[in-house]
Amino acid sequence: MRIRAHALIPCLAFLLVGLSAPAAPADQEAPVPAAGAVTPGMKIVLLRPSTRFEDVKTGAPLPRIDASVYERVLLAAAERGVGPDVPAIGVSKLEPAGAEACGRLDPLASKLARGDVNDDARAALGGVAALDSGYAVLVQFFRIRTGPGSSWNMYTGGITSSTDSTLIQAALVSASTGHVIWKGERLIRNKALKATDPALTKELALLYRNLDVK
Amino acid sequence: MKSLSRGFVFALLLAITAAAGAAKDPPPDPRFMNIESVSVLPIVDARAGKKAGVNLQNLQNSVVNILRKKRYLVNSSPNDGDAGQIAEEDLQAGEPQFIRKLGPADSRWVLVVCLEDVISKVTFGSTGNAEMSGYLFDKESGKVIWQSKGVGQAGQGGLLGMTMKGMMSGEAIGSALSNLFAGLPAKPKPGK
Repeated sequence: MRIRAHALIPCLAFLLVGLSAPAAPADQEAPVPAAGAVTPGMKIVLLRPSTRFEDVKTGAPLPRIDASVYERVLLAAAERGVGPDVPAIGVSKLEPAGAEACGRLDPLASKLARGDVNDDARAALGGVAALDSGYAVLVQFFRIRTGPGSSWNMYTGGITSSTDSTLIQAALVSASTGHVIWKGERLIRNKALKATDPALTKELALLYRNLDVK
Repeated sequence: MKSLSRGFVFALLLAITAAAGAAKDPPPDPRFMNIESVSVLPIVDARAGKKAGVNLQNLQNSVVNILRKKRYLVNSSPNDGDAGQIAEEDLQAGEPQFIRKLGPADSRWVLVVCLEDVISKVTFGSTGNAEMSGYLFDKESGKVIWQSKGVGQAGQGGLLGMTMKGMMSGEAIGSALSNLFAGLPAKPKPGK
């Protein structure tokens, strides 16, 4: 009996490691290839990231999460992604009319960030283009969902994986044409990444790695 | 005196039993009782990232069957109506002018189910997760009368479990569907 128990320990350890292991690379989606090129004279407006933190079972907002910390991390990553060759402007640095036009894009951010440009978005983008036809907007959508975690039933052998997930979507859209210049996304399953988690920084770097701005 | 008190206890027990019975069957919600026929629209694929192969037509049929079991008169709609491509944000916003464009023009009650995620993977065994959301709209009032979310988890450990990876998505979807519609009231049996 003792021998059996000893033999079980490595199996249990392996099982627990397997259940709590970080998401495998296969679960992390590769960014969509660049759909176009950034033209000379283009200026990029970094919109305020749209964030959502919700319970996967009810859709209710998660308590005690400071969205502003995530927004800072996302904006910093976007600036790094754009790089030094093209001017990247925050909404706060735009003139009031520009800030107002960008504000109209905020409710549409989750759609825009996956490259879904509808009539409402085109109208709001027109407001940005009216200020400078060289403007393109970089839209980011960030969503964390948390829910039932991983489990192991020692009687039935049933196991489950965590339902937590982190989704990051971003798109660069020309204000004058509404054309999606670039878009990318990362879906990290089984993990709700904290703003300070180095894994989030890594994922954001991977998201922007093929944003080809010259 | 003794028989009087016995009678009182009996009456009290009877009243408690009746009250418990009444608590089990809450009065039917008129919003659901008025429903004559529900049009189930094609499943909205709202998944992000790489998409695993899922037969959305079969999923729509499963939704129809669940509603039939709840004694609703159901028909399966082949298209989304004049609303164009449905985005989950539009369903959540529930704008009356959007709701009125959903589904066939002659249908009043429309059900939309979004598939939000499906994944299966091998660990020490294999697991599957699925997420769905559902919305039932009344086009006449332009309002959502029911909405819910359903999460399904499935999995089996060990070497045998590893060989079952292909089944896990389906199991997780089945579980998510069941959880999604758990809160939708069934219509009473005819004659009740």
